[in-house]
Parts: sequence; structure tokens; C-alpha cells
Amino acid sequence: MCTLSKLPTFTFPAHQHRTCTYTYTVFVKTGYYCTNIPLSETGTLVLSQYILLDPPLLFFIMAATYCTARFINCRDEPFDLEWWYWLTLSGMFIGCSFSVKWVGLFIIALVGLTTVKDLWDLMGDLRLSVAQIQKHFLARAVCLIIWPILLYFSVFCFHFLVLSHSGNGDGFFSSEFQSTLVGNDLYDQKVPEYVAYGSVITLKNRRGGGGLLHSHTHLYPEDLGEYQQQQITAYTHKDDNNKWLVKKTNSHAPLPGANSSIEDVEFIRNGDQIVLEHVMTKRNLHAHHQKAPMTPTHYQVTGYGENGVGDANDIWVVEILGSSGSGNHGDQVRTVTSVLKLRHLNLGCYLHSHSTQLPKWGWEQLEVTCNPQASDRNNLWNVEGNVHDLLPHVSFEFYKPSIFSKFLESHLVMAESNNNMKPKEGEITSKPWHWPINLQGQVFSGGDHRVYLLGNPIIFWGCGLLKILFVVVVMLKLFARQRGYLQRMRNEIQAELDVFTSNGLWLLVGWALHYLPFYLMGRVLYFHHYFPALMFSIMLAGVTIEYSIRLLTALLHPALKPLFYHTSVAVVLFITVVSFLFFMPLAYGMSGPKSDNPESSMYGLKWLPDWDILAIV
Amino acid sequence: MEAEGVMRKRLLPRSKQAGEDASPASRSPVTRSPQPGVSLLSPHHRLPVPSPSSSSSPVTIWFPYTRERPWLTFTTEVNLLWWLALALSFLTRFWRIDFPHYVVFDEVHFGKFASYYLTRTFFFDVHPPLGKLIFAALGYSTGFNGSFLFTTIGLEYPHEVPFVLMRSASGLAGSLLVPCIYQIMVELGFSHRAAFLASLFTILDNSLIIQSRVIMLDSFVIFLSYLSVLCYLKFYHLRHRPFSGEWHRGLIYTGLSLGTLLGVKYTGLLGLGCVGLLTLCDLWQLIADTTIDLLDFLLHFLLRGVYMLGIPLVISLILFFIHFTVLTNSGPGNAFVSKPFRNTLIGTVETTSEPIHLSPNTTLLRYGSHVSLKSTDALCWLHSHPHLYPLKYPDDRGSSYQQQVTCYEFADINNLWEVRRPLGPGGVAGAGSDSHDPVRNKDLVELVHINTSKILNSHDVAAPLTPTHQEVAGYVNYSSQFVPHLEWRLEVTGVPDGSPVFHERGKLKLKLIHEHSKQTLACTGKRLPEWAFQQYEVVTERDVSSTTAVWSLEDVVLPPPSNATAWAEEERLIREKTQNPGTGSAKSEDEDDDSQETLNFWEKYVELQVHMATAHGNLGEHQFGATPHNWPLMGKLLPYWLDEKGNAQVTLIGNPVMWWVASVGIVVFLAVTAVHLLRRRREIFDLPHAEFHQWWTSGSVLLVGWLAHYLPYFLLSRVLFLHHYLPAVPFKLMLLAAVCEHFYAWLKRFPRTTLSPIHTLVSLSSSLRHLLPRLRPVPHWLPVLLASHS
Repeated sequence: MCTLSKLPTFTFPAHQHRTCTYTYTVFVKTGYYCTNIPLSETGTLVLSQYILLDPPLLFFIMAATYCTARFINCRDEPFDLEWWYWLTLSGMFIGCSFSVKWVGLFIIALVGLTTVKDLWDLMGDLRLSVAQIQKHFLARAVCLIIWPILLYFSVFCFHFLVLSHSGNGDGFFSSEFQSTLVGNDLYDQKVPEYVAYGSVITLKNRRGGGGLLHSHTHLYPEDLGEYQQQQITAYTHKDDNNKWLVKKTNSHAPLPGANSSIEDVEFIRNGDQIVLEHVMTKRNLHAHHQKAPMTPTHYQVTGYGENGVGDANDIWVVEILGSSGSGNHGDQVRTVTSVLKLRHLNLGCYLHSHSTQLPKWGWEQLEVTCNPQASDRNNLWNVEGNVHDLLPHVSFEFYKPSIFSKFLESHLVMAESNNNMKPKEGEITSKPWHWPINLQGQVFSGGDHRVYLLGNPIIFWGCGLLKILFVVVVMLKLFARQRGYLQRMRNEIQAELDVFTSNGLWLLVGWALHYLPFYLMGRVLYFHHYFPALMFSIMLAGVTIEYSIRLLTALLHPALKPLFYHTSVAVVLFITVVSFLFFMPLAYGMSGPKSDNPESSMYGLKWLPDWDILAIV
Repeated sequence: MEAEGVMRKRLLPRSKQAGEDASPASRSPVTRSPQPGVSLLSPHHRLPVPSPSSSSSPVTIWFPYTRERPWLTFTTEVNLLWWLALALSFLTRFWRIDFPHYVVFDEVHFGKFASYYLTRTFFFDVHPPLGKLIFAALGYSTGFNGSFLFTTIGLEYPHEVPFVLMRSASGLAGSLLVPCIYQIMVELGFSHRAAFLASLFTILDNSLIIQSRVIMLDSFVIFLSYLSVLCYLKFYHLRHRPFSGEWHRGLIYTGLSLGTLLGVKYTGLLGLGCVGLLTLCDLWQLIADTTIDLLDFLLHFLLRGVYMLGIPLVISLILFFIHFTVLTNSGPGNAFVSKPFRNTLIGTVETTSEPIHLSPNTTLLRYGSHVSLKSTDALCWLHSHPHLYPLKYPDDRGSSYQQQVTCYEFADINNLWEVRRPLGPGGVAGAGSDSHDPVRNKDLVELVHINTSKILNSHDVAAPLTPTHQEVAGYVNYSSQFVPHLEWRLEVTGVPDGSPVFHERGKLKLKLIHEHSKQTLACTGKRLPEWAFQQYEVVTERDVSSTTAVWSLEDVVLPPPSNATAWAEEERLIREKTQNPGTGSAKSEDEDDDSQETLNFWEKYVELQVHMATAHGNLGEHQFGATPHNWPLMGKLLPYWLDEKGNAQVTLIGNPVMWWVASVGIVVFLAVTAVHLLRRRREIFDLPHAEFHQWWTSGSVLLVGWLAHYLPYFLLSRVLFLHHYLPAVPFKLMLLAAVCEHFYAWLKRFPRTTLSPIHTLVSLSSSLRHLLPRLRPVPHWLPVLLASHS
């Protein structure tokens, strides 16, 4: 999604180890479970093996979590070298996470909440002067806000620097943006400066990610009204079907031919009435009193006429927007720089395009309508391509977008395409509630070397149970405190319980922040989106196991303590390792018979009906 | 009813206050100056105690008159602000309520349902009955017979339809909302000034006015939501006297208002959630009180649960009992409920579907028979009609655009299909294709729809509701692109392959395996939307053993045989040869599909609740649907009605100044609270503790109320409208009034300030006054709306 995807991604299990290392050190004491669990987690293993964005993302998220934890632990000695070191490093890693995928936003939220809590505690310390608190605040603002933003921004600068050539992504961007790409028609800026009658132009919607006005021989389907006329759409790719000939309203008026001179050329001015003829199909841009296919409040725009001869509904009035909102009468239409509105003469509506996609019959291109609301920002267009035989190709200065506006524009485009990510046909999509219970996996590779992304069910379900246990413990603790029971306990027990619950709550919040927002997302979701949350879930499980074992140990006779403690640790480790060995083939690839066959390495392991082990594995 | 309740409730605490003042335990609020006899009838027979000042007076009074009060006095305290608010709200809600004389927006639904009640016709709606019953009762009281069905928006009301009275019910609820708001503010500890301001905001909000003038349920919902919050707050203030009579009464009132709320619309769950949250907070505080032992706490907990959940449940049962008692005739709701349910309705069109003509001893299934197939799982018949699948579905998938094949629960001529031999290659009939040979097990057959002559087809196109399955359609030849796959293999279990098939009505179970895809014809039991008349979806199912794929052969109609004797002979021979395994095995099953089984009240209640809960999702897109994120700033309006001739219109629009200011008010509240909290953290106390605590808790209650009525909509995937936001709006307005008061109190601390607080209020209200003339036509529906107003 973001830029780092364009860089070669490192593909070795090293990430796996690094993830584990960091998990390990966050809670040194509980480290062995935590380390062991992700090591035995088949799903994480599968993800880490391939060229995906997830391994670096997981690594950066965990690193940021670790650095923040270390930073908080330095609170007793503020502003010393170690304190600065961990603060800067946290900032760097949250910047990196966000630069890999926007999911990094959630780790930013976690670090942000932690910092707010930290500052709140500092505020309560009346020994600190206001100036000192301001210093604390500023240090965090610089290291956790400004520094990651700079990092993120510089990654984008690098992205623009590397991708300097024109490619198949051009059409998503505005004309100005395209003029910075080597190889694009607009790059050398050799086009006629003004649009004249007889020019063949392409029209670009000025919305972020807007398409080019497009038509093709296909008609609107029957059930959309009585007229079955040719479709008009907006298309984000370059195509000959995007070309339109600018004509006078009087279709008999001669256009300047090959033998005319440059004096015959008449430029289009603000307020002119024009007809746009689709070059490939010779139909005119037309609108009429019909509901638009997807947006019933707008009018339908169609291609109409035969060989360029249509009717009065083909007439559009050019309106140029100047700096003051509307241009002077008589202004000429400049390529790229003039911002136009096209008003339909009879209906008074404006040519409009937005992010609504047409269904299959419209090849999933963007809908073009005629909007009765004049002030809509999506009514704005500019001329992108301009070809006229007689007009000289001149080089003139476009508005060159700054790196900052390029940055903004690419974000608009990214946001739009992110929201428009809809499932492909026949694709198995998953819902967020599937994830924690490991309901369904994701096929990574079929054929003879079959790889299936499925979490280690023992770990997934175990984490779920431990999470519930933890929540119950927290509720009991709150109840006991509210009731005054807790205050009667011994101090060291209280302290230990406090450490346990506060650490656990921090991880629980981390898990929730990486998981719950997916319920609100409109885009298509996959199982692998759960893995950042899983890391927090696993750490929480580790903390809970550790605490429970020690609690149970404390209750025992002193002679039994070491034995019980080590046995339980061994049992936990044993279970995770064995479950890993069972499900290992999912990650390292399987060949041969499927799981319903006793000879298969996965025989008897299809525990849930929706695991595609039978079909794929 | 409700009006009386509120007034009484408003008066009660005052008289209570008087009683309380006498007891030493009560702490009378400072604001209440000596009470001049608040109780309604106060017979003070005692002689007044001689005041010490008079006795020590040096002046001798010549004519000392008795200070005895007149025996029969009626002293009362009239809160003019409160009455003013009430009067204004009645005025704004009822002025020209009869306009327009046309059906407006969702009056289409709720008016229609009221008519159905009056004709006792069974219908299905996702909302519980109370609101509609009120409309129906009002209609009944004027003798309206329910003949008008409110079919479309803009239909003119005939004179016999008491639509003004029906709208008045909404208007009454909308008017009584205002005193509720006033009282909630007072209960939350705000001043009467703030309370009046909040009610003024509510009175002047256009959207609430509009909603109180149409035959819709939302006005009831809003009123009852706030009434239940008010009741809860009254109850809360009785917490120092737990388990007393008043305490119980307070809980009962809360339960009753919640029950009626949930009886109107299930969005009332948000109101229940809001009150529930407050209750939980209260209980949490009770836990800390160590003077209450745990058993008492449990009692606290249980009693609240019983009153607040039990009463609504009882009310719901009563309402549905009335619902079922009134609606005895079958009607449009039939299609939504199960067959035993339908059997409880009078006049249900159940098919007896007698075989039309067939010699009784001829039970051999022959080619050329007209048959009907009934799904044994969904109890509906394989059906087709001359309507096509829609070109595209709401989720942008396309269909084959061929003729619909559905499953229909009622007997219909369109359920008949002809069994025929597949045509050979090129559509050429093979030899003997017109002969009526017996159909043998595992034969390839084609099913031709009798009325439309379309052939049952299935192809690799996703089914309308179950995209993972193949669509089944009546084949329409558009182009060579869609290759027909018309052959189905008829499979009867328990009959050897290739042996002839005997049938007995309803007893022969068979499967149809689509030859091309090897999948089997099945009914998914999902209801298709409007375009297929809410019939069931038919698909092909990969799992051949699925129970949804079993069909029973119902009617078998054969053209009168020309050579009946030959047929009978043939049949006898075959029967002897095969020992008739087909019918033999089938006969042993002695089940009766056409049972007259009926449901009792409880079963009906549960079934209807399930249908109501699952029906919400099928509403589809709407032109004026608005997503929750553009509600607070009123990003999208909701046109209710547009005059076909003139320019008059009714549009749901809030008072923009107030909506926007109130939305900003929420941010201001959060900011002010944050500043307070930070400063208190540094031990700078701008406000006395009690004052800050009141601001913080009462403000939070309002904020949580707003959030509880707003945020849950983000999780709903169904189509939403601006009017769904209205229950949250008064909370926002109350918070705005609270913020105004806070700033007023704050400014008062600087006596020499240049900006008089009165001025701010005056300027705010004058801005409203400037705006109102422009917006007034919208709620009050002036007949002709000038262009400048739109």
C-alpha cells in the first residue's frame, strides 16, 4: 500500500526471530513463553516466509512496542541518554510501521495513549514545575510526532525520487502530477497551449484519483430507463476511447481542415457553447431528463447521435473558474491549467464524476452524471491531452506541483483505492469475528506445494481463553478494590497484582487497538490483518500464564515449589512445541494426499469444517 | 395519558419536598426559600405561632387580627417558565398540523399498518405494535374503517381518514418532550435558567417539530426515551431511601416508560442501554458502600433488573397478545411466517391442489406429464414467472438476466412444469419424443415451464442471494454467449436405476441433478427481495446429499390417454415386474405435509420476534439514505413530501444554527472539562469541588446519552436516514444549554466584564430569530415555498 512495498522486501525468517527477540525483552521474566509461542505459531511463520508487507510491519510494530516499554521504564531518570535513546527509537519505529502499511496507525494510537497516560502522571507530580512538564511534553511531541512524520515524508520523497518514470499508475493522478513523470505526454510539456474548435482533447476530473471522460460502444442496460444509449464513464487508464473532438453547436459549420491556415482556428472561450464528439464512436456527449444509473438524484449522461449529428441536448457551456471563482468572459481554455465546468445548456446541470463505480455492465468504471448542484467540487475538469493539427506545440510553464502537494494527492488516491478494495469474484473473504477463533484460513499456494495460512489453533484458542481469564481477574480486582477487600491484602501481593494487571491491560489495549477498528472498515478484509493484534494477544497470554503459575506456586509447600514451577513451565512449552509440530506442514508446504487420507501429514487435523485442509491441503 | 403522568410527576416531588422539609434528616436545597404551603390542600388549623418580633414591638397594635389562614385554601406554586415552555411546544407542534392533506413520507407505512389493524388483516413489520396500535385506536375512535391504505407518498387523504387526529398523537408526544427536557435538566442539578434554555432549544428545533407532525413512530420514541431517563433520575434521587414505597414506585415508572418505549420501536434498546449504563454506574458506587452487605447489594441488583427488564417484557407480551388478537385475518404478512403460523389466520389460502384429472389407478410417471415439485425442506413449490432476474444486484454483481425461477409457498398455475425428454443436439427432438413413455430412475429430463415455455436451466452465474451457488433460471436465448445446460438427472432413492417411477401425491421424493455441473436443484430458504415478490431463492447445491435438495412430486397431470387400456396394461406389467419398490418405500412414510398444525401464543410470539430481528437487513439502498457521520452537521436532508403541482414541500431539516452550535458545544464541553481536569491535577481549583462534580457528572450523563443514541448506528449496515439521529438531538441541545450556563456562571465571577452574559444569550436567540423566518416554512409547511427558501 505505502511506499516500502516498492522496495525489495527482505524475505527470511530473521524477522521471525527478531519479532521474538523483542517480544522476549519486553517482559523479560515471561519471555520464554512469549518467545516460544510466536515461534510455534504456524500462521506467523507462513507470513514471515514470503515477500509480503506483513513481516516488516510486524517487526516494526513489535519494535515500537518494545522501545516504548523501555522508554516508560526509564521514567525515573528523565532526559538522560538512555531515556532519549528509547524515545527516539520509539518514534522511529512507529514512523516505520506507518510507512509500511497504514495499519501502523494503531501502534501510533497505542504509543500515543501510553504517552498521554505518562504525561498525566507527570502532571500529578507537584514537585515538577510547569516548565519541566512543558519540557517533557515538547520532548515527546518532537520525538513521537514530528520525527515520525519527517520519516514518513522522507520515505515518500524517496518513493517519488525512485519512481520518476511514467507507468500504469499515471491515470490515477492529476494532470499536474503526471507532468512530473518522465515519459508521460505531459512531461516535456509540448502541447498546444489553448484549446480550439477541432481540437481532440481528453478531459480529466479534478478530484483526487479522478478519471478521464470515457465512452465505449456498450449501451446502458435496458432496465435503467426507456433510452438505451451509449455509456459514458470515467476511466483511470489511458485509452483511445478517452478522446473527444470539440465542435461548434452548429454541426454544419466547417471545422478547419488540413488546408486551412492558422488564422482560421477559433479558440474556445469562457461561456462558449460546444459539442463534444467521441472520436471512436462518433457520438456526442449528451444528457437528458433521466435518473443516472447509480445516483438517482443526478441526470444520466449518455453518448447520442449518429456520426456526430445529435440534438439540442448535446450542447454544453464552458465555464472557466478563475482565481476569483469564475473566469472573465472571453478567457481562453488553457491545457491543464484551466479549471472547467461543463454546464448542460437545457438542464442546467454540470458534468460530474465521483468515486461510485458502475457494476459489471459498465466494466466497473466510474459513473459520470450530470449534477444539478452547481457548487459540487467533483464538477471540475481540466483538459489533459490536447491535439490540434494546426496549432503549434509550445512549451509553457505548467503549475508544477510541489513535493508536498504530490504527497497529499497520492494520499487521496491511496485512500480512495483502499476504500474501493472490494472482494474479487469468488474470493473467500473473512470477517473480523472469524479471526480470534481461527475459523478460516487463507490459501497461500495451491498445487503440489500447498501452503495454507492458518493460526496454530492451540495458541489461538489458548490466547482467547487466557484473555477471558485475564479480564475476569481484572474485574475481580476492581470489585475487590471498590469493596475495600484489596486494601486489606498484604502489600507485596497488591504490588504484584498491580504490575500484572497494568501490564496486562496495556497489552489488552494494544490488542483491542489492532483488532477492533477492523469492524468499522468498509474494505475487503483478510485473515492476515489479525496478526499484529495476535502478537499482543500472545504477550498477554504469556503474562497471564506466568502470573498464574507463580500464584499457584506461592500457594504450595516450599518443598514442592521448584518442582511445580518447572514442571508447569515445561508443560506449557511442551504443548506449544507439540502443537507446532502437528501443524508445521501447513507452513512448510505439503504435497501428496489430502487430510482425509490417513497417509497425509495433516490426517485428523481438520478440526473446524471451514479449514480448507480438505479442499486445498 | 402520558401528559397527565408527567404533570403529576412534576407536582409530586414538590409536595414531597414539603414533607421532607419537616423531617430533620432532609437537607432542603438552598434555592428553595420558605415554602408557602406547597401541598395542594393545606388545612392549617393551628393558630400561627406569635412571632417574637411582634411581642417585643414597642408599638401597641389596636386591631390585632388573627393570622389564622382561611380554612379552605388552595395554594400552589406555578413555575411559569415550565408552563411557558409547554405552551410554546404545543403551539409549535400543533400549528397547522393538518397540512398537507397528503400522505407524507413514512405515513405510507404506519398509516397503512393502522388501516390493517382496523381491517384486522395480518401484516408483518419490524417494529413492535404499540405505536401503530395507538394510531389504529385513534382511527377506530372516529369510525375510520381502514379502507384507505396510504399507498403512496403524495396521495390525497379522503375526508373519512382521521389523519389529523393520528398526527396529533405524534404531536402530543413531541410537545410533552419539552417538559421532560426541562425536568431532566433540573434533576441533573442545572439551574432553571439552563433548563428553560434547553427546552427552548428543543422547542425551536425544526427537525423535532417536523417529526412531531407526521404519522410516524419516532416522535413516540424520542419522548419515551427522555421520559425513561427522567424517571430513572427521579428514582436515582431516592437512593438514600432504598426499598421504600417511593423507591419502588420510581423503579416501576422507569420500567413502564422503558416498556412502552420498547413497545414502539426496538431502537428503544438504545434508550434502555442509556438507562442501563446509568444504573450500572449507580450500582458500582453502591459496591463501595460497605454499609450495604453483599446480599442487600444483590437485592439492589436484582430488583433493578426485574423492574427494568421484566416490566418491558410483560408489556411486550401484552402488546403482542393484542396484536395477535386483533389481526385474525390472513393478509400480506402471511408470506413472512411459517405454515403453522398461517394456519392460525382466517382465510389462509392453503392449497389443497387436487390432482386435476388423472385416472386414480394410473400412478406411473410418464413423459409429457405436467408436474409440480414441492421442496420438502422449505415447503414451497418450484415456480417461475415471466420476470427476469435484475441485471445487477445491490452488491454490483450481475445476473444472467434470464427468467426467474423461485420457490413459492402457494399453489399457482405457474408451479406446473412439463417433464420431457431432452432434445437432441441442435434442438432436434429425438425419436419417440412425443410418446408418453414411463420416466425411469436416473433418466435425463428437461423441465419446461408450462406458462412461459422456458426450460429450467442452470449455469455458472452466481445465485442472487447465495453467490457461492449457481443460479437457476428459465433459459432465455439472448446470444450464443450463454450456453444452455438444460438436462437434469432425475434421481429417486430406493428405486433401481432404470426402473420406471411410480408416484403418489406428495409421497415420492426425488432429486434433480444438473447434468452439466453435477449439482443438485435446491431451495435455500432465503427470501428474495421485492423484484422476485419475496419468494424463496432456488439454486444448485454442490452437496448432493443436502436435505434442501429433496423435492416431492405433488400434482401429476397427464393429457387424457388415447389408449388408456394399453397404458393400464403396461403399468400393470411394470408393476408386477419391479415389485413396485418406489411407491412401496414411499408409502411407509406416513407423514402429512398439509397438516393443520397451529401455533399457540408463545410459539407465535417467538417466531415473530425472530422474523423481526432478521428482517432488518433487507431494506436495500435508498436515494435519501444518509450515513451516521453526516448527521451531526446535517450533511444530508431528508425530503418528506413534495407537492406535485406547486413548490410546497416538507423536508426534514434541523435548525442549522442550533445543530452546528450544539455540535461545537460537545467539543467545547470536552475541552472545558479537559482544562478543568488538568488544572485540578495541578491542584488549582477553579470551581468548588461540589460544583465541579455536578458539571462533570451531569455533563457526562448528557454526553453519554448522546453517544448511546448515536454511535451504535455506525455498526448497522442497513440503510439509515437523518430521522434516526433525532433521539440523540435533545441530549446535544441540553449539553449546549449546560455549556452556556457554565460560561454564564464563569462570567459572573468577573463583575466588571464588558461582555454581559445576558448579551450573549440575547445575541444567540436573536440569531435564531433571524434564521427562523427563513426556515419556518419548512416545519410549518406553507403551501407555496418560494425559491429563496429552499
